[in-house]
Amino acid sequence: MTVPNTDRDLWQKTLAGDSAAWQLLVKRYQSLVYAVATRAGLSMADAADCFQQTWVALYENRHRIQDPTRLSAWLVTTAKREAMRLRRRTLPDTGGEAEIDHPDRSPLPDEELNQIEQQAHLEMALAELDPRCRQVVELFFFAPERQSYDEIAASLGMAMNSLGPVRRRCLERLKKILRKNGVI
Amino acid sequence: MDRHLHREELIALARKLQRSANQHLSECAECREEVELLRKFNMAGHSRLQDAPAGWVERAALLAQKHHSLEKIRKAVAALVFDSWAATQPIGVRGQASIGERRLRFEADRFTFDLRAERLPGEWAFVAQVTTESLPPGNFALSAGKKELTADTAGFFQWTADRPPRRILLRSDDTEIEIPELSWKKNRPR
Repeated sequence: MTVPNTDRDLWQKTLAGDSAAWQLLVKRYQSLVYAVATRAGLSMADAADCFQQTWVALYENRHRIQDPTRLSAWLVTTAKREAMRLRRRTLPDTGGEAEIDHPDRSPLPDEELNQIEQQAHLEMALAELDPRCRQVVELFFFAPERQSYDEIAASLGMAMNSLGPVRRRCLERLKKILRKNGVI
Repeated sequence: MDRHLHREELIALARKLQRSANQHLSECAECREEVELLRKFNMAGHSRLQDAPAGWVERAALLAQKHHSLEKIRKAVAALVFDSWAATQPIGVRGQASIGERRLRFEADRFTFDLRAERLPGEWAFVAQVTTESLPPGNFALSAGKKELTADTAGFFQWTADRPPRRILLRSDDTEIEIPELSWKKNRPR
């Protein structure tokens, strides 16, 4: 199995003019940028603009980005700014008083953006796991809160007593990937 | 040490809502690590992030490729080598005839670009031709102000406009030629 490129590897290749590396970066983070664009309350046409402009900005600023391990944060911030710009363009001018009445009109609080970014990192790491582990770990993180280990084991067709060791082993692999990606 | 913590308890701990399991947590590295992971990635009940529409992703993915090919395009500025308005008129050619029409020739690298502009009532009519030995003439495109034109097989472009264009760009697959901006004000000859 080939080891997937880290963001740093892909970024260096992109800077060297490797368009295939750029394509991998876009594929890796497209769902993250899409999530920011669509949760900002934009129309689909504006969300498409926001999505495209974010990638254009990244490409145009590629020589200014100093820390490629922070690409996801850069993308989230840029997509949010672009979404806010598009929203300002379409919202009626409410005047100064309305601004005072509603100081935070941002539909994307930092907490939510942070959660989207973490989710993107987790999903990227999940994609590197083998299918069995991916299934187990996915349920560990994403299943509804009240879903018990019994129910998770049943949905996986596993005996309850074998879920524990499998889960631990898979979480261990996940942590390794997250460490390699500089997420934990 | 008693039993490991249930998932619900781990999530509650990750949210700092429950402290009763702290005793177990202080003794169990395994559960501690799981709580830490859930603190960072608490996605319980969330659905997975959705993929952007394929067309959006494709456009973004092609950015580098397009930019790379744009970087390979040679750019040149054409030189004006003939301007009928600047040329001395033959004896007998006077008045409106010399203002109503302008013929220009530009050269750049292997290209010659001829432009004939004719002032008509309320508009200008233009005929341009690109000639080169290296490429079929039909491979050229022209931007004249807001007009985007493609050459016919003989390299001709024809268009009309309210006024002469400020900016003219001639493009082939690998070359972009800028036609220098000209003044279109000419004093009537006395």
